[in-house]
Order: sequence, then structure tokens, then C-alpha cells
Amino acid sequence: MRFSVLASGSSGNAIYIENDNHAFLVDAGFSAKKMDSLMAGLGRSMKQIDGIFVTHEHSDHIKGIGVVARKYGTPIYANEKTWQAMDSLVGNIPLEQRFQFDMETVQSFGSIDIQSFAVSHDAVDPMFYVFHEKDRKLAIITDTGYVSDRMKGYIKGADSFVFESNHDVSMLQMGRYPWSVKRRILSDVGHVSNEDAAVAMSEVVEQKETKIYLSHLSKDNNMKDLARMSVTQTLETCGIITGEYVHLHDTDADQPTELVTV
Amino acid sequence: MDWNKTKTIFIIVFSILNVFLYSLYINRSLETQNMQVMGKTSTEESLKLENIVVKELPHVNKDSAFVSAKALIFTDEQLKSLENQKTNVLNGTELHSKMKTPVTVRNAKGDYEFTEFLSRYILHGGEYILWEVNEEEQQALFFQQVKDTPIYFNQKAMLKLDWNEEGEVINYEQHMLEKFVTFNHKKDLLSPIDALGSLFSRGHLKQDSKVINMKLGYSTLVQFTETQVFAPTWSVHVELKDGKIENYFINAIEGKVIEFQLEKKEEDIE
Repeated sequence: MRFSVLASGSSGNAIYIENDNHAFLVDAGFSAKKMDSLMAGLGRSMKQIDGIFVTHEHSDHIKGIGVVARKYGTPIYANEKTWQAMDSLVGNIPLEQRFQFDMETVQSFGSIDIQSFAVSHDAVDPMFYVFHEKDRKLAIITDTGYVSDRMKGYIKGADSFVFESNHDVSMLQMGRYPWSVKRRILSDVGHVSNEDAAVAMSEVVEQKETKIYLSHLSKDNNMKDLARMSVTQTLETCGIITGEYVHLHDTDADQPTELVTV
Repeated sequence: MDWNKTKTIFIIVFSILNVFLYSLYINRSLETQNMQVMGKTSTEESLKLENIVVKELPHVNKDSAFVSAKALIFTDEQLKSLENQKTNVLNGTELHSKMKTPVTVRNAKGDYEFTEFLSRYILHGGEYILWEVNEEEQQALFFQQVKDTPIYFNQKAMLKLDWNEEGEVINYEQHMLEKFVTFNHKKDLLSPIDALGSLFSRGHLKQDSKVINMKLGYSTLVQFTETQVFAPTWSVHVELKDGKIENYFINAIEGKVIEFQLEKKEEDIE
């Protein structure tokens, strides 16, 4: 199983996962044109996608869903409430392409098992996914105000993580966002800060080679260097030295990460 | 019906209508441009109305980067190289030094001259820039610079000199940062006039005052256990009507006014 974070940030999110027989996306938060170009950057095509798993109905996760579904006939998976919430936003998607993926269930596609789990975010029924193939595990968790013990249970021991590291609290407090927005971001249904993400990471990584992709970085309240530095130092205080068996990777708001094996 | 005549009338009427609509469009866009011009000059106009004089605005690059650094741990080798001093290091990063023979920093005219003292007696003395001389306390405060840009009021980047009645340095306290890393992520800088606008809109610039100097430096944004991250910061020196000097600091990316709170030592608190 291989994956690439096609792009991640406040302006859009999409993650590509493949094995020799299947290719999937988690979210398609860019226009169809942009999705095409991101996939082309990876040497892949949207035509190859067997399914898109939607996490929640916010525009930075579903912007391209409707057009992609109509243009390529791609099957779309989401839970019932998310379907209802995004119905008017994505336009008409043929019934035969609409699939329900219930919260906290597993669906299998060949040798890949995909497990959904609930997160704490201000969407109707937000959920993220863990991809399993044989003994390998990829956990994707962004857009959550905090990482609960239940969520940690789902993602624990993954070989690769796509982990939200949304903002630096000092930058957010110093920034120009209205107080109501700051309060929303910092709340339990907002986004995870660099430090909180690192504390959660320290509790879910196991002593084996692990890749962590820092994702969904805020354009205004975070920087790649700062996120990496903050996560590195917090992990260190939790007794995990990055570079030994835990390897941090950046993601970009505009270009795909290298396609790597989970 | 004479279609030729009708056609001509239509052409004339629509031509007149087009001219009319075009003139409306031109008027609207001119109004918008005028409004934009007014918006651009509003800070300057506001300052003028309050009789706030700006001596000279500095020229700077439009963007700037954040930097990070770590506190220097003084080594025995470094301490041995210090001339005429008895040193004591606390926590590895706080150097307290006592001059064996006090060294004068006052010239024949009675003015303070620190350059020679810094270069001869202070480790990497050339990296520090004078911020303030407190005659009453007989103390001078220096800030460490990164690429000629001062780091404002950071406990780990300061140098304090104390002198006696004769103007001779008797001891000093030094902190220093090292391993500076410039972040790749560049952000647009607040222009000097926008920084003043930010100060003015928050009521910090008083009537009849004079902005005598503005300088771009850094201030602490995030503090980790070992590393600190610094954000570009404007310092603004303002002379009030009564001659008193006030200093303000503004985050040069976000425009927020910064109030430094230095850690106080126990004796200061008491």
C-alpha cells in the first residue's frame, strides 16, 4: 500500500492511497481541474480512482467531489448525515455512484480494509479513516479539536500517519483573526495545535519505523518549519527522538508529497 | 414602414446609450480610484490632524522571514579567553562576570563609549547593540543582533553592564543565542506607515508627539524548551510633547502591539 498527501491546508485537502489493484482518495477539496493537475504531478490520473472517501462536508474537503464524480463516474463514499449536508453543495451525483460508509465500520476493497472513526469537529458527522493492508496501517486524522482516547485507539500503532498540525497557539493569538474564529479553532470542535498533536502522536506511535506527515497547516497561523520544530520538541519532551524511528514529513498546500509505501 | 430609417434611429439611440453607460462606468471607476487614494493617505492625514510628526520612515524589504535560535551554553574554553575577569555561569547560559580591574567606558568629554569594551572584554561583543543607558542605575542594556537586526527584550539575548561612580565597568551579565535558522516561509511585512497606523488606531500615538526613529528587529513569538522562534518586529521611538521618550513594539506581520514583560528576579519582586 502506497500513499501521497496530494495537498493539505486550509484551502483544500486530498490524500491518495493505492495498491497494485486499487486507487482511492480521501477527500477531494480542490476543483476538478486542480485535482487533475495534482494527480498528474504524481504520475496518476483521476480516471484510475476507485472511490473517494469523504470525511466531512466542509468545502476544503469536498470542493471537487461533484465535478469529479460526474466527469469520471467515480464512486463517492460518505456517512448518511454527511451525504445530507453536502447534497446541495456537490450537485447531482448519480445514485449508482453514491455509497454509504457508516461511522465506525469497516469496508473491504480487495486486500485493503478501510475503517472509519468519528472525530470532534464542527461538521454534522465528521469521520476519518484508517487503511489496513496485511500488517501495514495508515491512519489519517485531521480536522479534530482534540484527539480522544477512543480516536487514539483507532490510530495507535500505525506505520504511517497523516496527522493534523494545524496552528501554533502563539501565532493564532497574535494573529488578525476575529476572536470568535480564534475561539472556534481552539475549541474541542476546531483544530489541533502543533503541541497537542505532538502529545497525541507520542501516545500512538509504537517503537518501530513510523512516518508522520504533518498536515492541514493553517496558512496564517503556522509554518512548516515551526510545526516541525514544535512537534519535534514536544515529542522529545515525551521521550521520542525524531529521526530515530519516528520520521516527520512536511505536506504542502499546493503540491503532492512523494508516493511512499505505508 | 421604412426599415432603413428605423435601423438608423436604433443605431443612433443605442450609440447614445452606449456613450452614456460608458461615461457612467468611467465616473464610477474614477470615484473608486479616488476613494482608494484617500484610503492610502488616511494614516498620514490622521497623524497630521493630531500634529504627530514623523521624522523619517525607514526603507525595508517588503517581506521578511521568521528565525529560530538556541541559547548558547558557555564553555570553559570561551570563559578562559575572557581577559581581566572572574566569571560565574548559571544554568550554562547565564554568564556573570566581575572585572578584576574596573575598566572605564567614559571618554574625556564624559560620554559613554562601549565599543572598545565590548570588543575586548565581551564574548562576541560585536553582536550586541546598545539599547539604553540608565545613568541613575549606572547600567547599560544591550540587545544581541542577528544579521544586524536586534532581538528586542529577550532574556536569552541580552547584555547588561554595571559601572561605578567613576564610569568604570565593574561587572556584567551576558546571555547569548546561537544556531540561528531562517525559516523558508516568508511573509509580507507591515510597512512603516502601516505600523504607525496600527499604533495610532490603538491610541498609542499621542497628540503633538514626534516619531523619531523606527527600526526593524525581532521579538519572541514562540518559546520551546531549547529553541525560540522570533517574529519580525517594529520598534518605534516616540518623543512626547514634554520631551519624554516612549518606545513601542509592533509585530511587523500582524500589527499587534507587543508589551514586553521581562522575567523579574526575586529581589525585584520583593
